[in-house]
Amino acid sequence: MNTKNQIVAATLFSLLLACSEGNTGRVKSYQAGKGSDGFKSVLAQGSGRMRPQAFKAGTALGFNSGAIVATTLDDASGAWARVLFDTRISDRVTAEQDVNVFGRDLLAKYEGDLKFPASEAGDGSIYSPSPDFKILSFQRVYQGVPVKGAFLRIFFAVQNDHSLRLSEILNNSYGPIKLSPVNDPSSAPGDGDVIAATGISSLLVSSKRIVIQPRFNESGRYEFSYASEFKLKGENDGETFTVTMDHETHELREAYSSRMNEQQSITAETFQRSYVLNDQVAKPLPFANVIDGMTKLTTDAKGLVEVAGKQVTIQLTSDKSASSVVDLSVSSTEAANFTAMLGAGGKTNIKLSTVNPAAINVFVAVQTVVDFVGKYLTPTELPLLTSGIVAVVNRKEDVCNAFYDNDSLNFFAQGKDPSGATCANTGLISDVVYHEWGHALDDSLGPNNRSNGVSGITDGAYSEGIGDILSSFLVRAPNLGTGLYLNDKKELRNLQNTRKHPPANAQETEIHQAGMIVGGAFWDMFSNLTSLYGTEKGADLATKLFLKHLQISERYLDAYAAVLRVDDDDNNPATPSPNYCNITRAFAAHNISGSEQAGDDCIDKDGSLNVRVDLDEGDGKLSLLVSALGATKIIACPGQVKICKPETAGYLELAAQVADDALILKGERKYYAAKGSFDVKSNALYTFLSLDSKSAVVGLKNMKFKIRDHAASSLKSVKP
Amino acid sequence: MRRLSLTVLTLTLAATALACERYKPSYQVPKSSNQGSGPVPGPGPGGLPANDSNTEILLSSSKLLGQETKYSAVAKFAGVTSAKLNLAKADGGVKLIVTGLPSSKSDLLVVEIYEGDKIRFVAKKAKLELAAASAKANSVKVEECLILTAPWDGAKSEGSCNWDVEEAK
Repeated sequence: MNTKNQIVAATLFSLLLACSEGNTGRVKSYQAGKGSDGFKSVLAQGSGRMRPQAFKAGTALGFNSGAIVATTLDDASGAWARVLFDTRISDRVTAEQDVNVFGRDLLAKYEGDLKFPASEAGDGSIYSPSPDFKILSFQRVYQGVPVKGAFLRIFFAVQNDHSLRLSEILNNSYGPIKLSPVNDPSSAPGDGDVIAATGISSLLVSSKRIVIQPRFNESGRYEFSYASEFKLKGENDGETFTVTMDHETHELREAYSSRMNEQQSITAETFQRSYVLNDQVAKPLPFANVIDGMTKLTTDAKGLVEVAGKQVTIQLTSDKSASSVVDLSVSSTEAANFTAMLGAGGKTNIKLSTVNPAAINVFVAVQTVVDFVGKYLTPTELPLLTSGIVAVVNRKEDVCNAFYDNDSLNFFAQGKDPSGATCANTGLISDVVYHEWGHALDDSLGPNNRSNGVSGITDGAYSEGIGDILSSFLVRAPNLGTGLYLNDKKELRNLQNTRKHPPANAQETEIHQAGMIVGGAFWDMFSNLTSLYGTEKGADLATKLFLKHLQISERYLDAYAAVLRVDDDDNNPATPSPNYCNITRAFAAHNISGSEQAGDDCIDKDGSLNVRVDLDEGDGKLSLLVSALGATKIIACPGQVKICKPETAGYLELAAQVADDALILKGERKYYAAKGSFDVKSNALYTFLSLDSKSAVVGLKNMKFKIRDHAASSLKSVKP
Repeated sequence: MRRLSLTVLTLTLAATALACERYKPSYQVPKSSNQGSGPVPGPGPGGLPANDSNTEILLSSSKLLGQETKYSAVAKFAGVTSAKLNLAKADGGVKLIVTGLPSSKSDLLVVEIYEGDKIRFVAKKAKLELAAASAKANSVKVEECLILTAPWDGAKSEGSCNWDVEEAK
């Protein structure tokens, strides 16, 4: 007789107290695992490190100036970095026209301002991440040689008649290229030169190409030189390095690994002795294979499966599972599996103490993050949601780490690092699992992505930030990686920070540190939006903006513009998006909003705010009940204002407490009432301002009151 | 036999007298209870005779018309809260009779309309003044536009009888 069983896995979100380690409080320093000091120093900064340092607002020149609404210049080159157009009147591309040709003509027309000669545009590629816009990209090629990191992107808003309107230009040309006469493309360093520079003698060169590498000179301007970009592969472990070496000086200009690690080089100042996070929770074991005698079954999304036997073998894999888990301590090829005795009454709870806890935790954590992201992106937009990924646990060649490498997530077993500190098994920390899956997410989205056959990770710091942001948004907390060191509650990183671009010093250019710049911006945005819309709707909106923006952004410097594009409700950058002020404030605090700032008078509408006339006291005096989603407090002043102070005539304060609770519907909305009356006979207009817990203004709404003309059945406005 | 009959009759009369409550004709509504015993019967279809301690509250509302058996109501005025009362049919709506509301006072009148234990509507009338006690009952009319849905879900703005409220663009 078949019995329906619900197989539930207990998932551990904290460290196991396998053994405790004394924490002495000494300063710890960790170096990247391999290579010379010089190589490790460049490696720590990852890919995409040649980012513009500063932007400034420009003026409309040269373009169809009536359509331009904002321009930003790259301070180092003087070139247009970003141009926004009013899509109601900007240049139009009909459905019959060739977008590529239009793009080249545009480039030719304005190459002086873009400082990107049309003759240097490589083949254009078109990317359509959503029905609302198209992106035309050109890579820069100078005299047949690619310029590393140089590109131009033209954004078009799709119209109802399928024509396109010019919407935005994003330009990273680096400006005019001038090469020193001694800089010779043919004087490329040899394979031996670059292998020696890495300090890893076991590496082999698998491919190379000549590039032009930009860098900053002493004056903060760009200068250029020929360089060679090598792909180097390790003999034994499959890790691939991409290393760029200058032709003239043989200096390493850039180096990054195919592996996106959780941790590179860290300095820990103190350790605490007593650490326990006892947050075990039972969750369904979804999409796992269940071998029942000779029959193979699969649990559904809720962990349900119909089986006949009492004892089954469970495999952490299936056609539908988000991951297939391989336990390297057991096998390097087969999915992790274990025997389970099915419980009487149809419910089986698999305890971590009876199976490999890292394998179970990773299997369920990957499904958790897939389910989370799947609320906002479809499998068509992100095939990773259904293709699954291999997760390898209990690796032993390193400790205190985890990494993403093309198609796999990898987690190291508990062990001691060179300094003697013990790190936990990173497969037991779900923050780390979400972070590593975030690298796979980055690799799979954007104009460059794995579906197009190229790596989607073009900015290492951005990718680290993406992993952290995904993890923090899922758990709704800014502190990450708690418990990496065994029995240590200290967080690994915190996105509630004040990091700004450009990184302040060499230590902050390391990709995990630099990733905290964009991580901090998104966390600030999360905080602003939850203050305005409440926890649920605010978090939902922030997550949607984050995930959707990844479809159209490749560098952390472009994240702000991409978020605004996703937030836009009329596909026209000329008009502020609904959450422009809260978004700009968050990104400007980390200096990655281009030249845009949100002053005190920049206040988004609180669309959630509504007003009910609770009591008409007569003579134009009303008691009002107000409702909103997020505000801690609401204040009101007569007129259409942006500043409302207690000393303002007619100022009223509404507290989030209503005496008669039966009259309000309890749930996610909050309700506010004032002790005083609103004099709508004297003031037909009132502005209601929503304040957060720190009394900062996060939103406003203007309301007008009109006398109801019963006799005429029409409305008359009371003159203020 | 005759003596026995008389004795039986006397005993019967005495027993009956002891067993039955004394009945006094009265129009008083029994005192309200806080024990949640349900609505108190109000006036019958014929209406209530005038009485100086009664206040008739007419709820003029198409939402409530014909729904007198579905709903009950609680009235609050000047610190006095009534029991949950049955409603009666009235022209254009329903009505309820409340006793014991203070007279010669100006205060806020609140009427809460319930379906079972769940509040469905609320009406508030400011600065209501009930006349001093007289042979005639006080009568209060609450206009439809004062009767608002309760609880308020906060999903959209709502005005009142004399005022519309909307977002100023």
